[in-house]
Amino acid sequence: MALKKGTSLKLSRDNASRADALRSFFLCCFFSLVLITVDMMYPDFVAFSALRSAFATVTQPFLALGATITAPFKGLSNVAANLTASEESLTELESENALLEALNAELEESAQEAERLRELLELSDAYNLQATGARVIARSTDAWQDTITIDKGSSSGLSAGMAVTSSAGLVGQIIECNLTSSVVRLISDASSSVSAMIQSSRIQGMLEGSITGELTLTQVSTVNTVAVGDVVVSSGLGGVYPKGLPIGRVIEVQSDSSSLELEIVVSPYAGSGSYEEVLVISSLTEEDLAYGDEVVFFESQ
Amino acid sequence: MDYMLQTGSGKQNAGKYTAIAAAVCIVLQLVLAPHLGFLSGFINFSLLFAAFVVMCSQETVSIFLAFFAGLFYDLCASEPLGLMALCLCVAAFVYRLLRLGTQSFTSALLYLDFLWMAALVLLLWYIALGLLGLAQSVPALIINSFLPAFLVNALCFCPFWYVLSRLNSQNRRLNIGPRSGAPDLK
Repeated sequence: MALKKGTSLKLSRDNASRADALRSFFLCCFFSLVLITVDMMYPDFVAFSALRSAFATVTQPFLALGATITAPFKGLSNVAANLTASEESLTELESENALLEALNAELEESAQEAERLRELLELSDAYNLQATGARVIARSTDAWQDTITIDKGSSSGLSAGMAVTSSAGLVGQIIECNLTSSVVRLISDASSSVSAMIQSSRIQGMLEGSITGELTLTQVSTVNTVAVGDVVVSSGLGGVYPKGLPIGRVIEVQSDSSSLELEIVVSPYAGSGSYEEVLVISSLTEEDLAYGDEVVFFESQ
Repeated sequence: MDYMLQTGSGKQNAGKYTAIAAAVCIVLQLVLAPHLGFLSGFINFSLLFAAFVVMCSQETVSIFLAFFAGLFYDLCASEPLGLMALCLCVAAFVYRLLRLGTQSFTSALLYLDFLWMAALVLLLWYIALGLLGLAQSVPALIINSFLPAFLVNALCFCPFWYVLSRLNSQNRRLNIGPRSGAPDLK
């Protein structure tokens, strides 16, 4: 009888436990199904989004820690995966790699162009220039002229005589303006003559090109002191080039006893092959030109 | 073993082991689980925790703990909230029904129980993903993801299995009171 009582107690306990389990199970199932249904039907449900966002914020340090800890082991798994790679997947990867390399080269080119254009924009802002951007599309091929061709012309408001500069320094002057292109004579051209001055001492002179492409600052009296390394900028005289545009740096100064002028050789900042985009200065403001006292100073030299 | 932990000190031990297992599984799920896996199978520490707590204590609360473990996994993953919670509480309930009244457990039985629980959870999970349209091919998913996940989780359950085996052997040596299953001879 005691045995039967013990067995019935056990059975009633089991039935109670089973009932408890069933209740708990149905409750959890119900909530799970509600959650799944709401999440599937309303992916942007505010409460779930907020919960996920808060969870992600709280667990982010753990994820970062895990990434740091497991970084050395990921290489080992890649080795294992690579050992079982098929010929087809290798061929596919090789062609994808070639495409990516080409794309990378294009992007690198675009990045460099963006950098050059940014420098031009900075130059325009720094000197407060009214300018138009243009690309160099051709360079002179004969030995007698030192010119470039740009892709803007009269249709873009350009005209002959306008100054052209790059982010590095002064380039030249438009000598021929067509509808959609223009020819620019470089400052190194033998026919070129730019009114320039030594930036530090304000000594005025004329920067002239040559057949060899060498730049020479002329009309500087021997009583003046010019040192190697001095910066040469445009003087603004003549109304062609704005004042203060960098042109180059003095690389040689020679003084001949029989001459009244110094022989000053200047190395241009804008080398003939160093730019692909240029700024055409479309109009000069009052501040771009030399002041009256600067003109007097030049005439007195 | 489950009835051993129904006594006063046994309940405290169950609570202690459950808390430790929860802390360990939460940290491992966040730190290691996203980065370590075998082929397409990743470790599911929520599954390991739910199986451990269900086998450690057959209180009704173990089903709720399995549910919340599944919710935690759903928050970690990008699948619908409540999906793993549903799978784990189904497995916990089935285990409770099957093992209710079982007097003694061997180590082998503990591990076999985990294997079928894991298989049930993972099958339900991948079938649900297919039914919800979140996976393209259920058979391919079962072959490519289920088997690696099953194997990797079976391997990672070994430390939990060791702890359960130790608890089981300790409780056999203690052989505590009427709830051991022995009849009350009053």
